[in-house]
Amino acid sequence: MPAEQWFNDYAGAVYSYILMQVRNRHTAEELTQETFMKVVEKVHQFEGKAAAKTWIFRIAYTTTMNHYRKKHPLTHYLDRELPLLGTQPSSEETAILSEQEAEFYEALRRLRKSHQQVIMLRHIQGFSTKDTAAILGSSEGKVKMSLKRALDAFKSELEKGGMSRDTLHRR
Amino acid sequence: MTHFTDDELTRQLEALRKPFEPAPAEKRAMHHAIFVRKQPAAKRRSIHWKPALISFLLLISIVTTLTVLAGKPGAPNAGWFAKDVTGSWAGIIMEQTSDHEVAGYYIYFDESTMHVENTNVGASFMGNVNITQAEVEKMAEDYQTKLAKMTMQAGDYPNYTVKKKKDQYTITAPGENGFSYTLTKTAPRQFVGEDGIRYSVNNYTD
Repeated sequence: MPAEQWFNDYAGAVYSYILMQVRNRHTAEELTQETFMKVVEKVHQFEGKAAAKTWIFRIAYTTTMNHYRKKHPLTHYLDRELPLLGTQPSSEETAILSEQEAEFYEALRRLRKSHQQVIMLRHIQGFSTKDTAAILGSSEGKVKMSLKRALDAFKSELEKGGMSRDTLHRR
Repeated sequence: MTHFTDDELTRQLEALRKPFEPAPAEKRAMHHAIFVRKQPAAKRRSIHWKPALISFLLLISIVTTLTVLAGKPGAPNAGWFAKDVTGSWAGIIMEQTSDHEVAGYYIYFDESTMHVENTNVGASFMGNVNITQAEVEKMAEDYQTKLAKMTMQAGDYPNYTVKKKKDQYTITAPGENGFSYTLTKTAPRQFVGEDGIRYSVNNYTD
């Protein structure tokens, strides 16, 4: 069964992609399960136009967006997390991170959701621009432009937190 | 402060994925939930008032339409929520119990036909020796005139229907000499017609 093989190959990546967004292991587990349930249901619809991993991530992306739309509509529509709406779990509660990883992750979290998406897909999950565009339902040009802006904003956030090349390897 | 290059950022970001990956036990649990149990956990669905209201209104309109249609054939004036009880009237004998100057109805309902008999034969003027022949003829003519004005005329009426709305029963006889006659139930086996004539029936009806 290809779906089971795909689970073995990509469940870890899908889970990490979702957990980085929802910051809750239980929710990440549920959404990963929901994603692969859909993969099992729709496996006959997979036409092979894109790589299976891209197709699965497209499902994971829409599943996570639907979760935000239902549970956190303001965050979804404003494209930003609102710290006033409740306490967010810390990065230590989300995953075991080194100090440096935690600072990178927190800087990433402070970006707009759409900027987080392109950085997570292009640089953390390692998709090509074409595949990232397919997952986000966008164009390659838009992804390239968005990624450039996202990286600039990310660097700026890191520097606000005192992170630079000088501090990178000393920590 | 020296800025990060894109390559440095890329390397750091690539390394960020690993700590977020699931523990082997978590992965096994997910695998079990998807491929062994196969059924997603049942979710409580909240009731959304808009679709519920639309469904309710749709249901009401369907029920109303069906009721109106059910009450329609042969009895257009029976209208809203009139129930067709024709079947329960098969075998009923309805006999007039009040005096009337021209009518003495005896009505029998069989499965398909209503038979109306008028047993009043004009006894008030027949055989009266104290009046002249001319007076008898005049009285007979008046009798016929009044009789002709009665809603129900003696005869056989096939395909009759009886429709009930609360305690009102409308008997409808279709056809050229057809009529519609409404009775009100006053007791389990007692009725009074729209013209005030009282009847009793031999059995209980719906």
